[in-house]
Amino acid sequence: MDLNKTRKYVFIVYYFSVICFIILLASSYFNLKKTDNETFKLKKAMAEFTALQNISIHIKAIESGQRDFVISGNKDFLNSYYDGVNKIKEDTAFLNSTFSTNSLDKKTTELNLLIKNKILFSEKIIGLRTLYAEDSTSNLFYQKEDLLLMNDISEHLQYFINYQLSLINNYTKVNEHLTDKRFENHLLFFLLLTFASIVTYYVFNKGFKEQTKKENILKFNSELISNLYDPVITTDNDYLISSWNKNAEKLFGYSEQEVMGKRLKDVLQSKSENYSLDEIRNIITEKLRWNGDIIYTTKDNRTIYANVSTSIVFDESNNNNGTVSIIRDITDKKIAENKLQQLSDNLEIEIEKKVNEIKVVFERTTDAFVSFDHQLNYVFVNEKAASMHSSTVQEMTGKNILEYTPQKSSPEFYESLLSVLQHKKEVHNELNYLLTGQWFENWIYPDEHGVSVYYRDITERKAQEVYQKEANKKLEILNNRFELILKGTNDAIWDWDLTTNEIWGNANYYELLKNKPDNKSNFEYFLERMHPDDSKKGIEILSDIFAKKKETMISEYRFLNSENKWIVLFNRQTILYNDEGKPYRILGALQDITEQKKIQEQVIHEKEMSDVLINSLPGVFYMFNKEGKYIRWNKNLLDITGLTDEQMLSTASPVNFVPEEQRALFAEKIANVFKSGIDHVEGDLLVKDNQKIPFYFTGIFIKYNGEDCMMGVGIDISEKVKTQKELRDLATHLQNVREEERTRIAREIHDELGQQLTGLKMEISWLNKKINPDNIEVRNKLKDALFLIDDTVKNVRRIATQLRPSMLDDLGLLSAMEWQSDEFQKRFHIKSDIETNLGNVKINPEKSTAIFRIFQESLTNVLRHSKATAVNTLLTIEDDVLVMSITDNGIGFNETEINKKQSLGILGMKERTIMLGGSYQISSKENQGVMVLVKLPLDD
Amino acid sequence: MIRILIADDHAIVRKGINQILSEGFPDAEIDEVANAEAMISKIMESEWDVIISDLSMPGRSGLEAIPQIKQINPKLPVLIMSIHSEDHYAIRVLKAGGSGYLSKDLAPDELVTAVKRVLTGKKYITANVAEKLASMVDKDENKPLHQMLSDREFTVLQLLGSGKSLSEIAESMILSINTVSTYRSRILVKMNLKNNTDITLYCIENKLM
Repeated sequence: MDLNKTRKYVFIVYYFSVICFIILLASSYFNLKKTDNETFKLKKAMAEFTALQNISIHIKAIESGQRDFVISGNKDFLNSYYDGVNKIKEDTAFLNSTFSTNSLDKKTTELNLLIKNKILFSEKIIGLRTLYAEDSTSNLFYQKEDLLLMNDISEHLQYFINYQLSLINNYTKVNEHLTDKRFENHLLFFLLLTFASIVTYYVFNKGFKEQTKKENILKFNSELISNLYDPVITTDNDYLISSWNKNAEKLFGYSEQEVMGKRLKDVLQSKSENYSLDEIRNIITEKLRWNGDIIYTTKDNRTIYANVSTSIVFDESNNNNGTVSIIRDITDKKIAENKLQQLSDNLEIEIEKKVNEIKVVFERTTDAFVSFDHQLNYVFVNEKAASMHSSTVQEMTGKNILEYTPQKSSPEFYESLLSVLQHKKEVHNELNYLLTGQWFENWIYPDEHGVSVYYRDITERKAQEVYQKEANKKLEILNNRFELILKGTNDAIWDWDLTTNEIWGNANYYELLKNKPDNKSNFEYFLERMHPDDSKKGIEILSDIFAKKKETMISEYRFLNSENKWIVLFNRQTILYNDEGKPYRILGALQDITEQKKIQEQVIHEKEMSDVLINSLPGVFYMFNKEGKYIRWNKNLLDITGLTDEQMLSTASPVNFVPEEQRALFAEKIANVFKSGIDHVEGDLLVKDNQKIPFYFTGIFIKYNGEDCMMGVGIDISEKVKTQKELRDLATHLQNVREEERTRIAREIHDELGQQLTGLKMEISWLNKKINPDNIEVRNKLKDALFLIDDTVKNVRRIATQLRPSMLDDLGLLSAMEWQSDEFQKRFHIKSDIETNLGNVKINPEKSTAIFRIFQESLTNVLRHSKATAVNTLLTIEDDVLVMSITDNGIGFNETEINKKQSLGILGMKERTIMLGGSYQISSKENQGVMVLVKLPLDD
Repeated sequence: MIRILIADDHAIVRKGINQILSEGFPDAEIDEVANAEAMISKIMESEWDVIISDLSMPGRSGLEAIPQIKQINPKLPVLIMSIHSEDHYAIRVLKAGGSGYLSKDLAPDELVTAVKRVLTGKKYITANVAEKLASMVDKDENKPLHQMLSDREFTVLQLLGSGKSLSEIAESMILSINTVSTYRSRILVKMNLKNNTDITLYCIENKLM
């Protein structure tokens, strides 16, 4: 869209808006006028209405003033009466002026008359009242006349009021309607204005954008022109220069200022090879463009060859606006072309000369021949050479070697060429052309012009040579190897020619069969000496092999050698078939495996025996490797676990055979076997139906088939464990019985005997006090008696306490132990102390007794064996476990010895703790004292 | 007039005690029962000035009855007697709330003194018992508990506090597990703790790690 069009659109929109605006203004004006008119009417009607209202009010004022004065005789009321009369006159005057002209004339006259009558009537009544006072007027007051008059007035007034109301209503309606219309007009007006402004904005905006775009394009074009590498010149249609870019400046030497506005031909001398300048102009005018070479002379008198393309430029209205010319400097190219032309002319002459010289000679040879000059350009190429390069003689001649034989395809060839050129000495070689893999035999001769090469393709010959060489090499290796095998092998090698039925053998062969080399052997010889069973089978197998054309076979047979001794032979053989598929030769190797067989049999025998042995073991047998994979097991293990041989192989793992809580222990024990060679453990074997059976397991390290393994047996110890438990129960029972017995006896002695002695003592004390102090003899006797009683009480107490200290029951474990410790220290002068965190924790009687007895026993041991001077006891509760450790500073003992002896005392203490679910440990080193550690869980 | 209740399962002993008391307190009213149950009901029935009870009787012992007596009448003095020497019983009786302990063989000489003493609302304590009591308070209470540990024990305490197992500690200190276990027991005793959690808490509270 161009600017004119835009302008047109803007004008259209503008005029349109103006017209709309005027129409709207006019419509609004008339509307307002009409409204004004109506409003005036409304106002008038309202005024009339008010007047009517006033009349109605004033007539009532007159009436009431008259009536009140008549009733009361008070002249004050007459004020309202006169006021009404005055006012009503004004109103009626106004009404008359308004209504006298319209259709209501008659009614108005009636109303005026009525009002007048009323006023007259009232005056009359008031006059009467004034004259005759109350009595005279009372009759008149009630006269109907007055009433009728008032009614008439009211009726007339009402009529007017109604009329007036209808008028007002009418005007109001018209007014409302006009207001609505005005609003619509305004709305329309606003919408139109908005629309017009939007359209205007849009049109302007669009026009502006177009303008900007155009400007940008122009800007871009001019920049393009000034930045073009090539010189650009523009002229107007009179060929006056209108622009001259930087490159034109550079090329021609004239600056922009110098040339602007001048004629191009005045500035630049130019000529074309083919056209005159006028001719060119004509072409431009006709075809609108021209392209061709022009020779210019520059400011500094240089001659420039240029390719010029000129086009006519049109403006928007398709008018000729001048020309634009793009000039490309092709001077260098032109010079090069000329030089090249000269060169090729020379070359052609030279080549022709050469060709004529040697063509005849070389065209005849079947080998390829080429000649190079010193730059290695082909000077001569014969047909053969050209065809080798799949080119023609004409094409190749004059070209450089690089175009046909890249240097990297045969660097050696290049080297040779260069060396010949340099040293002028002929070279003969065979080279690999890497690009195709072909081999060439080259004769390179120096000559006066450069170098000549005579060459031929020897790829095939070369390949054959290489193949031959490799084949020879392989054959040689094979031969050597065969010789070595024959010499080195222990096997007896034989070669059976089926056509002659002769069997050839090496030295080992004869040695093996104990045969003599001069004693020829054949198939019959073999059949004769083979074991009858084997020979029969051998023939069968052989015929089968022949039928199936198998090339190898292995067999084993018994053979009676020439010393009449049976040997077992292992035979591997290869059968060769001829073209018809018939076997003609068999090559084989024999091995004496008599000894091997014997050993094998023995091994099988041994295995059978060990199987019988392990299956006849009373318990379970097992052998597994470090990964826990089972290698051997016996039938008992399968029977007791319910597993099959397959399951043992695939899934079984040693620790899975014991309950979860024992697995860590077993893993440790197994690891120990692999480490130290032997171990044993007691544990439960998980058997069928998830039952547990106590077992005693052994483990011994063994190397089996080169693998580290553990082998062992497990023996059912259910009976032993049961017996142990029974024994333990019995011991517990006896222990308890003994303890109870002791308690009972102690109590008996202590309580009965002791108390009675105490009572006795009190009696005698009393006696002692009451007796006559002078009777010294009796008093002394009594004193002796008291001493005796005291002694006896002490003894009784000691005996009872030794049986069972009552403190254990009365005061608890700690008190009893402290007492025992004190007693011990007092009696044996060995320092004894107890440290504890027990506090007020109560230990149940059974455990208290056990701990106390172990404490007593331990102190006794300290006394008997340790030679200690001090013993320390720690009684603690640690995580709901009662821990007692008794340590002395005595001579200690050797642990292994004490284990051997297993003293009954220690055994008893151990059993006691085990019965209560605890543990007992005694440990020592020589001269480092003894430590007893007892742990009892306090789960109750 | 004072009212005395004697509880003892042996009639002959009761009789002896009664005799001694009658001499010492001519105007005392003395009653006797043979076990702890009868003693408690008598105490509930009427007012007494002092109770003299045997330690071991069939059923509940006199020692065990003390808390109940104290519940009924906190101010009623209870004198416990037994044929055991006071060495091991006196402190327990005092701890349980008794007013004193008397070995029966000393009754002819000491009972009246003891009763007179407890009647004043004081404890009857012999010189021997007093010494024992004194040795009990003779511990330095102000010192932090861990300062009572030996160097080795202190090291074990720290390692236990940081959550190391006994076997780890044994390995790091080049000791047998039993030895380390003994150290641990000693630590628990000296610091009056019960388990490893206590140790860790103690270490954290006292910033020993």
